Amino acid sequence: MVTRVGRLTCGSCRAWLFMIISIATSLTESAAVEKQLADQLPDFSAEVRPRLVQHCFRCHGPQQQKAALRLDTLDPGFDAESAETWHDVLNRISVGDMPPEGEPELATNDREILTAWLRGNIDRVLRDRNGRRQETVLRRLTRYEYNNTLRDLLGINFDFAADLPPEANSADGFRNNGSVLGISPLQIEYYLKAARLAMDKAIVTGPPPQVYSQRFESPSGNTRQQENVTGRRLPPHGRFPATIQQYPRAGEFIVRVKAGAEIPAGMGNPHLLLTMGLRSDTESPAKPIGEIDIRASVAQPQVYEFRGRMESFPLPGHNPKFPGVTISAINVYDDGLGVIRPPKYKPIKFNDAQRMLVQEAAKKNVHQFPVIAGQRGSKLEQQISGQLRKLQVRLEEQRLISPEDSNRTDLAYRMFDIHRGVAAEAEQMQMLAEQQQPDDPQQYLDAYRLLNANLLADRQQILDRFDGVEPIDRRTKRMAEPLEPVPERSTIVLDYLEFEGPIYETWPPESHAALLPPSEQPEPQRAREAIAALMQRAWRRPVTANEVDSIVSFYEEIRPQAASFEEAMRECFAMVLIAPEFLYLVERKDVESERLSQYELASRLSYFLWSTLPDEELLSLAAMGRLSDVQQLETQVSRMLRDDRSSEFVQHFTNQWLHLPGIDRVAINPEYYPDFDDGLKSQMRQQTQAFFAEVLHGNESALNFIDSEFTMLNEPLARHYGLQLPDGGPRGADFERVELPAGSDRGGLLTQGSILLLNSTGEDSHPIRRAVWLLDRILGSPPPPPPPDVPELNTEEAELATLPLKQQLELHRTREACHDCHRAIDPWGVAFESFDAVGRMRDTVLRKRGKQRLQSAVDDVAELPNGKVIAGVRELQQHLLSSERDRFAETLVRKLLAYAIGRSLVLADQPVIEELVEEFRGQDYRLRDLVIAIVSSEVFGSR
Amino acid sequence: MSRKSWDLDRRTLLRGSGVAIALPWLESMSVAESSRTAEFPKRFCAVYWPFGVAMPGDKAADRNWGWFPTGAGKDFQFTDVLSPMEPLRDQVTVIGGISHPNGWAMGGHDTGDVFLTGAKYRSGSYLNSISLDQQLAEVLGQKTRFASLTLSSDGGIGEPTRACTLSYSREGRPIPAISSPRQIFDRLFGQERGESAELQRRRLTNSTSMLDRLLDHSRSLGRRLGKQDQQKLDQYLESVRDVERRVGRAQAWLDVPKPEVDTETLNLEANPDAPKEYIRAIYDLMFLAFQTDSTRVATYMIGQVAGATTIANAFPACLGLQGNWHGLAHGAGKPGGAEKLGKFDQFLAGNHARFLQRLSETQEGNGSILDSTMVLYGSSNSRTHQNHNYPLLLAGGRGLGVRHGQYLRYNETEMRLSNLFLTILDRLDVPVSQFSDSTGEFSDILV
Repeated sequence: MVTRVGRLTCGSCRAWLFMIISIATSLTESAAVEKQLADQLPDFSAEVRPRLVQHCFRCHGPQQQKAALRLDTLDPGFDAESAETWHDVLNRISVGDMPPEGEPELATNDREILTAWLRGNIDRVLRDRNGRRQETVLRRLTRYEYNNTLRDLLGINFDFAADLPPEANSADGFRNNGSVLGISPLQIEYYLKAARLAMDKAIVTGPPPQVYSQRFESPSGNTRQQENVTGRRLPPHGRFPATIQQYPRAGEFIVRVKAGAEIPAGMGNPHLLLTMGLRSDTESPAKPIGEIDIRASVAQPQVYEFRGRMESFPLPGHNPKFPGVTISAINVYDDGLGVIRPPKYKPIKFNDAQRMLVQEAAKKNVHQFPVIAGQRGSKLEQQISGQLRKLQVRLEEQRLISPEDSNRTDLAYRMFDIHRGVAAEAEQMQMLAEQQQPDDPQQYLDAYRLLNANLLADRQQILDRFDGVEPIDRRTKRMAEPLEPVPERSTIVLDYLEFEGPIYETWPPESHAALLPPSEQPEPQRAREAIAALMQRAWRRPVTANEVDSIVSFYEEIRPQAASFEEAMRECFAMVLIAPEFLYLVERKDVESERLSQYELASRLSYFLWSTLPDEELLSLAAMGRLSDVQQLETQVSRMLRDDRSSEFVQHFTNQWLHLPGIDRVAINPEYYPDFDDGLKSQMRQQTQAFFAEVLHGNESALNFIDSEFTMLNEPLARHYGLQLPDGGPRGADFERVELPAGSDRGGLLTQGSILLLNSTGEDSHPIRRAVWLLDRILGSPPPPPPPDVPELNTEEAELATLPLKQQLELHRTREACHDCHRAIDPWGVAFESFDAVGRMRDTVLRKRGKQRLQSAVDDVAELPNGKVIAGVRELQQHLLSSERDRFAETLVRKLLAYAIGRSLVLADQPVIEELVEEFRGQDYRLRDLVIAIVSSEVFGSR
Repeated sequence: MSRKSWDLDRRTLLRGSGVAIALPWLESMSVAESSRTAEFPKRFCAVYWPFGVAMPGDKAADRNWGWFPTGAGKDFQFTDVLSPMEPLRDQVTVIGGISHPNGWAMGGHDTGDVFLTGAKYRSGSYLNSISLDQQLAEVLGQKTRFASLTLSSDGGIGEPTRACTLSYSREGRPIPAISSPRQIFDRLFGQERGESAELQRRRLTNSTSMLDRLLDHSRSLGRRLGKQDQQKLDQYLESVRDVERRVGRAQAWLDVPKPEVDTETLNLEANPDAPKEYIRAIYDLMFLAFQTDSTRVATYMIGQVAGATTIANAFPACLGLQGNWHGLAHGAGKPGGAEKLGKFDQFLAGNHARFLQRLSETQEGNGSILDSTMVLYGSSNSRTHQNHNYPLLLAGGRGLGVRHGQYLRYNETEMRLSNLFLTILDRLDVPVSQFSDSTGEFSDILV
């Protein structure tokens, strides 16, 4: 048997070279070699310990245990536990983390002696463990795996895991780690409940249930009280509610929406979101049924179909205050224009100074009336004079208004009023003239015009200015057609929305027929066959007659009391689904070989890449014993990644590796980011996942995660980032690959909104959190957690809070208690300072202290622990690519491997990891190739 | 098992109090007639919040936003933070200066796990011990449909040092918490939809046989597994055994309909995105659980002590208070910081006070539910990251010989939290000689 030990990088050590030679030697030889080797290792008490005393024990000894590490009592014989710790020590010394800055450096000779001793011993331990690799601990399905498995097993799309307690991540960030996936009575209780519930749904009795259906061609309910209800035309944010009073309480339903889209030039497809829940005019909960881009034209609308199960949605209780279930069709396309409400009439407003001006001008510009034979001040004249004063006020106001004023409605009303005033004047002056000068009224009118020539000319000028405004009588209320120009927006034009449920293609439904195929056989035989068939699929392997017996005997026990064959079968099936063989990925250890069986391998593959049970093809390959073939594995991985189910891998791996769900734990402070729409958070997460998927499916270099010439964007995010893209960038909600302009900061993962927001405070950047994230998730060396009783920063210093952040951090580092760790942490985060909390670029940092607003210039120059100075994110990316490439590659290999095999990696895995890293590097870091390499590796195929 | 006379009294008492309770009819009802010593159920509740509190100095201008009262003994004043407790002044005691000495050496974020256990909890093994509530539930839980109720905003168990539950079994295993009001309600009061009583009965009988057979079956599976795997499988087997016991309990309760509760004022769809409604709903459910005697032991962890992962981190922001909870706690010492954190702590205190108020307004015999219930409210940080001087507020138990209306301060070298636990156990009729690292009783709360 050959022990595989990966190549380590230090070649300067003679003992180490010897080691490599020793590996290929036979076991008998190796005992001799080991003795020789042990002789060659530096002696612990004479050579190693004095150096540890000198360089390490002051901080990691009896007095202090910084980072909870104590070396003076650590077993120098490298027992199982201490070997892991010594391995960490070796890593810290190798990357130059230790001894820290400010402590005497290790002389070259000292370093060589220490590393030679550490490496020599670690390799001895690895070799001793030959054939006794770390086993993957029996691991139960995670919530999402359980749910996917049950869904695929029964063909029923339902959230079966809803009541199961949520799971936490392991120390290395993964949710599918067997050692942390515990089980408790509460879980067993809910597994049993879920299994029975699933069986109630899958196996039916009696006649098909009543089907409800209803079609809506206009919004229902009291739509006036509801926000953004715009009829059948749905501009962005527009909503079409449909309340069904008669509905089933369980079963699958279909909602069909017939619609087309109006898409103005340069805009994206409108995006239809369909929700169902309680009444629609409140914030009451509704859950999404589905969403889709509407691409059909209005001329040729299309029917879009959505499915769900009634019991997945909030339904009214018994005797509810607001009966009925409301389905809403919403256009959630974000074109950046916000909600545009139908304009409401509001008069043009003047400020005090303007009103004063108007009043004074109106007082000055008074109309004069001709004086005939001493007759003055007739009643009619006074009346006209009053009206003209009012008209004059209007005209004076008009001087302050532009004919281009956007309030077209008020302009139209005003012009109507003025024209009416002018017409009234003409009419009444005629009457006055006939009254005052009955013999020659024309003469009177001429005199009037002459007297007021300037005023009338002035009035005409004003009228001319507003020539283009069509007057509207405000009493006719023509406001149904708003006069203000409505921007053209991507609009869904809905023909109808139709509900139908419960839906069964056949009766009994497929799920029923799959579990209990129609049969003429007597019940006991039928039961045995059905039980065996489900066991085989649910337990993901062939089952023995004994195993089937154990369930069949249960059937025999309960059948006499059961009301029907179906009832008894439901219980038997439920038992299959709470057995450990279903809930756990069982890998037998009672056989000689440490290789997984074919079926175990099929499950490992499918839970790795699909998070669900293996399909027919994998199982039949397993049955033929052909799955472990390297060529076949490669074919299968490629096939599985092409399958839609691989989105589960993309989603769960990125969530766990990068800690994406943390985005939802950060509340964005609207005082700092008034325009930030919380909906962007999920799009940021999608961007990161789309980016990972793009690199994976294109088999591109994983170095793209550090920096790339492209990214994945949709319209809202491109707008959020303020990117200037050719053709204006992507349109609509779908993500597409976008080539970035040269020198852009937006390449790679590090500057994606998800990562930046996740590691912010919701108000500002959080350089420490950003740094810890980078060290942990990208460079694989998380800093130790804060020690107990960390003192707060000296809070009496009021001015501390007013200092720019970098200076606060510097001050922070001057504290003894903080310095050791933060010296190596902070700089990594400072480099991201040109990005704010929501991931946008910034030049200045804004902070608010009460009413104070403090602004300081961004300072993203950082000195890395090794002394290198970098300015900003571009230089950080370059540094990572040039100097930390190996560290990143190893980190990614470790993360993927840990996820793939569902356990934490230990020292014994080091050789495999190094081999994989080597291969990864040789294949230019291509991601899909790495997945294939992992699946083909010995550790993936072994227990 | 002898039923006490309170059962009979409760039927009349609960009528018209918003709860239509269907009275558990057990054969011992006649026994109750003979034993007239009125003994009311004794109950316990613990509520925990993360990240500690604001603690401005006594001379600071914003002292009033500090959590701890000013003054001492009977002569103390609530600050603005605990002002909602003013109407309950003679039913609560504020305690300062004590903690779990075992937690001193733990990380500043790590002590939520041991708040109710006081265990020596070390990295690597992370062995915990039984929590106060579970120790109580072993006895107090025998007479109710549910032995205890474990709740948290995050749900589940979390991970070691970042627990999402306050409760630990006798083996020191975390007990998963439930977080959804709907799920809690269904558990306590929900009727199984579409299941006739007959079917329910058959299913319970089936469950016993099914679980029994699974145990047999799984033992044979165990022989084919490695050592580590067997330990995992043991966990499964233990859980199955425990569910078997629960099934037995459910069978005993089968003929007793679950209490019918008026859901009009309950917001069961509330979720942590709307903390006001959510926290209120959780307290309402705990109140109903006690009122209907569905359980006598409840814990609620408002948030996990991990700024990056707890759902509660965003709570203050949802209320219109600016900043994440962890950030607020960190900034509590900065100018204006005490007020921000204090306002949020005041909100929490307001919710807790409402709960206590409802318990104290619900009559039970000559007293109230609160008189025979002990409610512990606290955090395992004083200032954030400091595992000393826990802010603690104890309420209830006046009918059990507990006296209140004081602000007690201790030197942590002389008094510890486990002593308080020991005394709580004693008052609730579950006397033990020691709990965790207790050194004696906590006599200052005794009459």
